[in-house]
Amino acid sequence: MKLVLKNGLVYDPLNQINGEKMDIIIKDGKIVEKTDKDSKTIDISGMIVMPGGVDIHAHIAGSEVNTGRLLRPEDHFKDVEVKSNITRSGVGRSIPSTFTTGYRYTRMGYTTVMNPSMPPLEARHTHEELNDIPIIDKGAYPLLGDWWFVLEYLKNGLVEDCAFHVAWMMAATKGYAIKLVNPGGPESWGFGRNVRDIDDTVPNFDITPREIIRGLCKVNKLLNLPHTIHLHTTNLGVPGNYRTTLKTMKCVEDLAYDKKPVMHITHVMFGAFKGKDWYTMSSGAEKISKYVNRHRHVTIDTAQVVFTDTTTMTADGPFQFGLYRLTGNKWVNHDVETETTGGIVPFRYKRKNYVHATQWSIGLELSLLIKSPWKVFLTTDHPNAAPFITYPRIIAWLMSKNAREKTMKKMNRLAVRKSLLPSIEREYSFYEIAIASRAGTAKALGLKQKGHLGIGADADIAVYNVNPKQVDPSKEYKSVIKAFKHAAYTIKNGEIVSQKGKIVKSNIGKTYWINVKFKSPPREITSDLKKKFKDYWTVEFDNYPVAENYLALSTPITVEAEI
Amino acid sequence: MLTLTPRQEFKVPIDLGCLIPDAIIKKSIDEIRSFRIWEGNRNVHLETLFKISKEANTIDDTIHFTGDLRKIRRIGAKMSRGKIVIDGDVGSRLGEEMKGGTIIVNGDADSWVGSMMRNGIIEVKGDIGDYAGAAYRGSTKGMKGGKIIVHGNAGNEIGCFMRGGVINVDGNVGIYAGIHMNKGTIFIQGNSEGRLGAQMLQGKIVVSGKIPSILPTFTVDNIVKKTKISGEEIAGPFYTFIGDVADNGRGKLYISQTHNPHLKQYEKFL
Amino acid sequence: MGGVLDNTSTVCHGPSIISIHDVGISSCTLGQLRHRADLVIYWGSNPWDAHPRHLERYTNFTKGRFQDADWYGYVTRTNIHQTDKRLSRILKLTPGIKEEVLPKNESLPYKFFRKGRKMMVIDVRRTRSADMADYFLQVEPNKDYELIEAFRMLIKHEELEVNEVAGVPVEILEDIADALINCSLGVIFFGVGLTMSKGKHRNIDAAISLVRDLNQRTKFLIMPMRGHFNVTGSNTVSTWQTGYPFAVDFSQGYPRYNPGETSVVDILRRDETDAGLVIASDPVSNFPKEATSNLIKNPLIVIDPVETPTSVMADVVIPTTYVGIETEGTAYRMDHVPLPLKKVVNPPKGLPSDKEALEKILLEVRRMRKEMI
Ligand SMILES: [Zn+2]
Repeated sequence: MKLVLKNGLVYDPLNQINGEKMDIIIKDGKIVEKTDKDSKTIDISGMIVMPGGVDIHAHIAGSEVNTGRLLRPEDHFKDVEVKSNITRSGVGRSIPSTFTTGYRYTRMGYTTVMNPSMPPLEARHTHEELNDIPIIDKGAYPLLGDWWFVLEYLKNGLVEDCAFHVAWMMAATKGYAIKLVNPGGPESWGFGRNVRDIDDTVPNFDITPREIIRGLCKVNKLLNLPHTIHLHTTNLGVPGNYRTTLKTMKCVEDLAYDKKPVMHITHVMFGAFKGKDWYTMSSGAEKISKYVNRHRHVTIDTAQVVFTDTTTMTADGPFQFGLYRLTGNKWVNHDVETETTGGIVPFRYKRKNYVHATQWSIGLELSLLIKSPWKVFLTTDHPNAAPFITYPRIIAWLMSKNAREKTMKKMNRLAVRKSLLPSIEREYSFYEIAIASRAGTAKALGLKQKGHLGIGADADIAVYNVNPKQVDPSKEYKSVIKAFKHAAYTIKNGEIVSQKGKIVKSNIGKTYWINVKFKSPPREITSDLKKKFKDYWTVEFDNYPVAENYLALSTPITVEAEI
Repeated sequence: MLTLTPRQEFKVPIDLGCLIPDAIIKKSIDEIRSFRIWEGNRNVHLETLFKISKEANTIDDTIHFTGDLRKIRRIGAKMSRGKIVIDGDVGSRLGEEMKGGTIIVNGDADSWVGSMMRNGIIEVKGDIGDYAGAAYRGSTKGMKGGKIIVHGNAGNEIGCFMRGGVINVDGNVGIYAGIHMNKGTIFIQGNSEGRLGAQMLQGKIVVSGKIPSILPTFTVDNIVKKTKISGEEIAGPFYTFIGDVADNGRGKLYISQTHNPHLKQYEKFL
Repeated sequence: MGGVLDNTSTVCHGPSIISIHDVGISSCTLGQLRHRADLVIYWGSNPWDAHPRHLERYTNFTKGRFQDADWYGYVTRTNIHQTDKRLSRILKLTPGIKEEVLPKNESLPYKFFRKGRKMMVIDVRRTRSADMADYFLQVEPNKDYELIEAFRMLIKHEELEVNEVAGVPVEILEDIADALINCSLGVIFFGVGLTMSKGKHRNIDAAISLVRDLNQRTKFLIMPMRGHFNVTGSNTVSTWQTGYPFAVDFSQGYPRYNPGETSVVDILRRDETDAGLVIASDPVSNFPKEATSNLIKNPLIVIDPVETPTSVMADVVIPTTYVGIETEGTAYRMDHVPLPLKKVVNPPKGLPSDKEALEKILLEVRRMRKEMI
């Protein structure tokens, strides 16, 4: 399909284009230079053009997400997606069914979403679900921070051997990045324990979370993976844990090189609590922002809370158990042999609750106090802090002090009194929103075809019907919400897939995964693995890897390792 | 008054959730006739399934059903005013999420009567099925207010996850009445099949008839001569039990002493 | 089509799923138990007969990283039981001595207070698995709920005001409660014996709550012993596509779910269908009589590689290939671990797989309805 988007106001931060009136020309799924005569032209005067949204962290598929769906029929039954001639039916709210997930991201102008926690043993399941999420491109991060092989190799200082096995795992699970969740915690949780600090020892393995983080950070560099290690910190959701988060950021300072990030810390809001207990809990966002502002080796995403009913799910089993004890809500735990664990607890963020209101404030403080939007990205850690459908509201809070103040008026008063937000004047521009929600995330992920509109980029484009020359987002934030809720046009792979919130075409999205090529000589990396396989797992070695033909649209990214 | 009579015997379930007093006021009979409803998987006009008539000079917000209505579900769902009178047996989810008004059934009703209801009155002259006043699957938000009155018998798990209001059963009930209950009152004039108040947190259940046994997770509290339900005095004597201790519950069971001599063993703890 | 899609869990572990909606579940993959479980409880399930490889692969008779196999204990116990049986046979032959009808529950053996793997069976009758176990607790039929709730009290050190629950003296229950707390990782496997006894899903509700409460003291997990081949797979796919695991009603253009209302047995009982499509399952032998007769009186299409009582009653039978023999695919193990199924031999010529057959039907339906082309 050939298409010309005429007269749009283009925000393309990776190419330093800031609201210029430009035409975007599309041919065969790519952005090209020259118009063909038979191109279809759409006049989008007065509308914003951005690269399609890139979500760096949203739980949209896999065993954990699906158990969440199973757990919560009451979450689904009032928010449904009726079938049409083009779309399939489904349910929505905090854990939407697969088809609904694809449609709802598309409607918001998002075209790439990364699924951040894939138990390697259940990778096949994750990919079967990803196949059923239409339109958007995706990838998944295998959980490797508690894998016995990683623990054993790193304990013995065998970083290269560890790297070979991680590379095998990337190919076997069709994974995109190394994910660590409370490293050492899930293993300890196997016998109902946890690690409380990055220098605690993991029972039975004689290794500390610090050693795991540093080891996998080195592995990441050896393998030359496009994304950094993707880390969920120790001690999550505990007052006073901002110190652990700072310690974690510091622990890889010396591993940084070329002024590039070497670590992505996800949902930092949950790791930025000050105080001794829930009564004295307050925001640690200032300290963390200060650190991030001064260093280049770390990027973060926020996990912005929105006051609503949602479902928390992480691979941090002990954290989820703590959350169950706190709320008394129903609780799912799912341990995965040799690798990881996971938990699910429904949760309601209440605006009048001091802790929840403070959490809301922390997320925005992080986004606003960290100066460079290339370092802090917009997420809700869907569905942990809120469902992804709330992004437009978060964009409004980022862009408008008025919007923040309006929410604070209805919030817990003590939380507002302690919050830094009333003193923060900063408001994001559309350019900065484009960085935090697509350009920055695409760059952090190393997805070279995404997040920008330069020649040769994937033609994944969002057109939003809001005119920055006429609308002042600070005052008229409601128009901003409306525009970002339903993109005027979403273009995926060069085709119009959604128009004013209506899905007009449902195509298949790609699944990205990493294929590591080693420098010579190729080593027999699986001999040790094969030997231990029967002892460690209850499945056959041959049954473990996910074959490439399992992926609806397999898109390997080949990287050359340093070894 | 609006009167509806089925044109024929139905085979598939009919969803009548949209036809409530709130929806018919200020609507002409023709508008009402062309209401769209679901007959199984077909979306049809109301008048294709029902004979509809409207009496002049009567209050606007009363709906009267006659005939065989066992396949009809969700009558009175979300209604907040007016009155629905049903002559005959009716299908499931009667008065689901009801907010006010009255429903009277001169016959039996199926399961899920008054599930998630917040206010209003449902009176069933015959028997009802399971899950009266319950919550939707997975939810803890059962009936919050209002009153369900049953003159016949009720099935299992009535008042499941109930959070308020009153369920009054003149006849007998099945097992698990008041399971997971959290506030509210259930009054059973007949017998209970047992497992009364299982996993309840708060609330009050009164049984004037027989019960085979009390769950081991309840502790006996007292013997009282009488108790009160919405201001009305109920004559005892009753054993009172507190539980469900397994869930740290503080709910109260009032069990007739006269009809349950086998509970005498508990008296040694008093 | 606007039909209703259900799967076999509606007649087996549907109650377990309904209880998960209410309380969640603390579970795991089977390897976790192989490596760590030292207290394994089979409740209303008989793995020795129903899941013959289960014990040697995943629990007591296999060696894990942190736990040893308990073959030795098994051999000893089997010898004892053999001797017992021989003795009882002799006793039967001896005139004047009558057989005991209901054996009294013995107290918990000392083994349960030491480290190492232990196996307990709780059931209404002594099964083969009970013979293998270190301890067998026999309960009165239909009293499981009371028993579980009693355990929930006891693990909190609350005292019971009754002398026995489900026919078991409270002293024994207190000992078992201690064993539950003192293990390093415990697991309850429950079977149809629990899901189908009086109270159905509420038994599981209580069992899951017990396991949840036990996690305050130690690590505890629970898992249904599922039977039907790949029924977990059907649940899993149904859940990610529609949000609901079984009994999904599409009649109003979107998924709706309420077992009892939208479950196939209840729909058939009320005679609300006018046609049926059965894929690789056998409702005629599993459903209640009423439901079956309503199913077969309407047009019935069966897609199945084998002849079953249902396919015999069908109007149209579409034979398909065997998945895992003639066609590849995926199956979900009962602990939700997906496994690839390989193709070993070529199918007879022209025989479609069930997927191909359904896709062709779907294509035709969409063509007729002018949808999604
Ligand atoms: Zn996450």
